[in-house]
Amino acid sequence: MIVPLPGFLAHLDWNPLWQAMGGAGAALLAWVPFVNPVKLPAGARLWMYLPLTLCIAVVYRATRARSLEKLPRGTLLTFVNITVGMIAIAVAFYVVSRAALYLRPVSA
Amino acid sequence: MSHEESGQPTRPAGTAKTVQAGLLSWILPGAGHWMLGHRGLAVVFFVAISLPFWVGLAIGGIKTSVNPWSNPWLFLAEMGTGGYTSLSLIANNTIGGLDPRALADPKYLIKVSPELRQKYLPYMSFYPESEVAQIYLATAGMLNILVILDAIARAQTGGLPTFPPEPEREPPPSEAAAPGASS
Repeated sequence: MIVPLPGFLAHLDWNPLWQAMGGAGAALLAWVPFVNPVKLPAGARLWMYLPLTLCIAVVYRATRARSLEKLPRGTLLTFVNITVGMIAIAVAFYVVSRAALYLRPVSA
Repeated sequence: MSHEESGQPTRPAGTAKTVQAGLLSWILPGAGHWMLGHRGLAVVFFVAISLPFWVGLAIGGIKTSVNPWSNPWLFLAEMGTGGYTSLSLIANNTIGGLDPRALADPKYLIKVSPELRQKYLPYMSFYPESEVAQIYLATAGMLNILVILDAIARAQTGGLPTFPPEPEREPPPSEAAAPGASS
């Protein structure tokens, strides 16, 4: 269901330049935050893990906090714990995958 | 000194205020804590929930990221941040004049004319951006459920967190009197 916009907003075309022009420059001009997706740089996906983990650590620690005084230290500890744990899991899976490749039967 | 600064519990709130705190937290992260007087925690929750939600939405785009027809389970997780997700869904239905149900089906893009496909593509996110956006949005929603439960718990207990740490125990009288008693 398309809900019509009231009044003058109904006449607004939210993405007029995209259709009118081509190329990366035009795409940048026509880019509307939250409407058009962002293209992440190569390799950025891995680093996007860090701010999300920080937010998880902040919320988890804040739900256990009686006051804000001990929150920064607790948050840092939780953040480091999660990160080290994730690295350990990644290393373990890497070792298992390498071992599986090493031990696989060689076909003739 | 507020009870947040002192860390001491105050009088528990009534049922109406408890429900109000939970609902406010669902509509706006941290609003329930703000109403209960935990202003510092409210700001912390607001930032820590809003940041992943809006970053996820910016990466994935509103059309494919807040779309109950494309991924109902993701949408359910996003509904943890009810206010943000509801607003985003309304915006999804209005912006661009494109039906979100059409964007939900990837096969639809193959069937439509190249002109219409060009119209749809700028609104759609693909791997790996769509994956990052989904993880950010779902995490924000699930974290806000934790915040809602915490607001309810703090309202019911007069300021204590969901899982309060063990209070420091005073030594038993026998141990406390031990040095003097042994001599």
